[in-house]
Amino acid sequence: MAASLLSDDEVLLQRYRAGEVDAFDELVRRHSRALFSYIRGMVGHQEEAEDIFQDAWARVIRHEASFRGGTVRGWIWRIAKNAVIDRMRRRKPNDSLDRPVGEDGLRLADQIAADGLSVPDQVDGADLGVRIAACVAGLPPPQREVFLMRTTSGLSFEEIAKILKVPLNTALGRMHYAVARLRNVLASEWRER
Amino acid sequence: MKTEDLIDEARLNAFAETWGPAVQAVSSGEPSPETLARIHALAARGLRTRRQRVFLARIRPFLVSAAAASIVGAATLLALRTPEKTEPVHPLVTLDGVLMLAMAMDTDWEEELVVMHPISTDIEALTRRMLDLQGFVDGDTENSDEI
Repeated sequence: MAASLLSDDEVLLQRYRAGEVDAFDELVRRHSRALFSYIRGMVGHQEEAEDIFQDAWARVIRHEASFRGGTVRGWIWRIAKNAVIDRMRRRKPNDSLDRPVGEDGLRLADQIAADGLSVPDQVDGADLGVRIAACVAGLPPPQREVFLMRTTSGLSFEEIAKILKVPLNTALGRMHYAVARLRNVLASEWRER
Repeated sequence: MKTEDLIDEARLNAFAETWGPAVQAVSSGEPSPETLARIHALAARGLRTRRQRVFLARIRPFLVSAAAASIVGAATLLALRTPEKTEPVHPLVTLDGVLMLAMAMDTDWEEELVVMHPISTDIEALTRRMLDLQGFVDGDTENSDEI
C-alpha cells in the first residue's frame, strides 16, 4: 500500500510538472490531513498552522525541480518540518508553553490543547482528548515532532529519522520519552489498555 | 513495563497504533478551503513561471544570436557614419586663400571689364590678321561687313 502511495505521489508530481494543476491539488489532498495535524500539533494555533501549511506547499511548488529521488512524501514532510522550525524560531523567546494565559491558572499549553478540540470536548474538561492534547502540547519540540509524525501520519521511524536527519535510535529515543510522559499523564487509561 | 522495553521499535509502533487514533482525534484538523484555494493559485502560478522558464531556456540561443547580431550591426553602422579624417590645410594655403579673397574684395570689377574688353578685341584682330596672312581672308569678304 505504501509503495503504491509513493508511486502515485511521484506520478502526481510528474503530472504537475507536465502542466496539470489538478494533479497538484490531488497531491495536496492526499497529504493535507496528516500534514496539517502535524503542523497544528507543533504550533498549536489553527491560523498559524494554516500559514505554515500554505508556506510548506509554496516551498514544494518553488522547489519542485529540486526533487530528485527518494520519496515524495518524505520530501514534502521534510519541507513542512523546516517550515515549522522556521516559524518557531521567529517566535518570541518568552512565548513559553508554561506561560499563564488566563485568570483561572491555565497555561499556554492548556489553551493550545483546548483550541484543537470540538465544543463538546471543551465542555468536559476531564475528557481524555483534553489530557492527550495538553500532554502532546507540553512535550519538548523534538519529542513532539517525532510523536506527531508517527501517530498522525503513519510514517515509519526509519522515514522519520530520514526526514529529521537523525539516527534511527535518536528518533526512537525521542518517541520513548514522549510515550513515557504520556503514560504518566494518562496513567489510568494506560493500565486499562 | 521496563523503560528499556519501550526503546524497542516494535513496542513503540504498537503504542502508536493503539494511541494513534486518540491522538489523531484531538490533533487532527483540516486546512480551510481558503487556504487550499490559495495553494491552488500558487500551484497555477508556479506552472506559469515554469512554462516561462522553459520558454526562455528554449529561445535563449536565439536571443544570444540576436544580441550578437545587433551589436555587430550597430558597430558597423557607427563605423559607416563616422566622417573620414582629412589632412589639415597647410597654413600657407590658407594664407593664399585669405589674400585672394582680400584682393577680390578690393577689385573694381566694372573697370576691370572695360580694361579686359580691348584685350579681347586685340585677340580678335590678331586672329584676323593671322588668317589674312595665310590667305584665308580676302578683301571683299573682309569689307562686305562694312557694306
